[in-house]
Amino acid sequence: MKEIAIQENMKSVIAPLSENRMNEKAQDGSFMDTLKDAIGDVNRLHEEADQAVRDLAEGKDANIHNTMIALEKAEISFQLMMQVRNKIISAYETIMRMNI
Amino acid sequence: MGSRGIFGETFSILEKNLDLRSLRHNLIISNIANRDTPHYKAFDVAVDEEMKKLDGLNREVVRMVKTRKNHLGPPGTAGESPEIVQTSDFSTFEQNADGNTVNVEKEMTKLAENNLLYETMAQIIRKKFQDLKIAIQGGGR
Amino acid sequence: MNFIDALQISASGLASQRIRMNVISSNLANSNTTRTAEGGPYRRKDVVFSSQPLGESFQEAMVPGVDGNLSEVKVTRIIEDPRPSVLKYDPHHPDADSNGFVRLPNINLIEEMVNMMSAVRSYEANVTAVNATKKMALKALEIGK
Repeated sequence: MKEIAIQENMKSVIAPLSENRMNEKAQDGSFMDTLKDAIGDVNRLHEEADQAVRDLAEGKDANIHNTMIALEKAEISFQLMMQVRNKIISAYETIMRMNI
Repeated sequence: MGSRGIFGETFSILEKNLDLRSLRHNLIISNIANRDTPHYKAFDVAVDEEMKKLDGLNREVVRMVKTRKNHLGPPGTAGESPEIVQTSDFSTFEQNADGNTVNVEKEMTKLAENNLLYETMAQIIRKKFQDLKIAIQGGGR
Repeated sequence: MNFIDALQISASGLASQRIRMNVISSNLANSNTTRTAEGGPYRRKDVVFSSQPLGESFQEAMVPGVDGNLSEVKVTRIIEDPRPSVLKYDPHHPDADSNGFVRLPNINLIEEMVNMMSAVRSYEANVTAVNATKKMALKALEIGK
């Protein structure tokens, strides 16, 4: 029952934004895998953003819009991950309170 | 897994459009700067044609931007670069005696049009990012 | 393929047209000069534009053909017009030769004015190009806002 409550919580965060994977994973119940994938995505996007910034700074053939887009993607994915983490923590705290 | 998560294929399309328009911009700039250079041939890239090439391919990450050295592109896109053609859609008597094919009025028009479309795409991407941020931050209440 | 390249190309266009303007101004100012330091009348000068491909070998190795189409323009030479000087009969002129003819520069004012207008137009076109580049870059920077 507690798993279901957590799932509902997660869905309410992820559903408005999800494209494909995330929705399926949440329904499967393996939201920790979702979080791990999200972290992997965040990492990759941050590395791409770093590379884009380096390209621009070194004067190598980088367009400004590529750099800005890479930076934005990294930031948004990071924000999403933080929100997911916050949701998990608050859901966990809710459950811990219920145990009494 | 090449999925981009919350960034759908619209983003890829917009990014590719921005890349193409950026390239087209530089070609037009080059044409304008060389309008008095003898034997210079004007170049252009057909953005709409290149965008159509997206259909049928793996629509995600079809970036024609030069990738970093040693970085393999996604399958099906390696080695694909946009087709740059010599503009030849004017009658021959408009060609200058010295072999220069730049029609400055046309180039200026193309410059304005391309500029406007670039800014439009950039604005759209900006809006989409804003919407995503709102959804992320406001969705938790 | 970035904005830096675009600005560099436009800058080369502006510089080249400005040199062309200077040469035309020199022609106009000296249209009646019969005596120069090298001896003889002023000879009309002209510029030779040539396009030079933009892009270092590193970039060309990565995606051949893309950056190779971008070229900036340079004034490679300033040449003297090979057309002969104009002879004018004026025996009282201090520079008249033994037959009373003065050799004047072969400068056609109409031709120079037309060239000057063309140079001005080209210069303006490049200025517009620079502004367009700047607008696009600023818009791209706004993506993150």
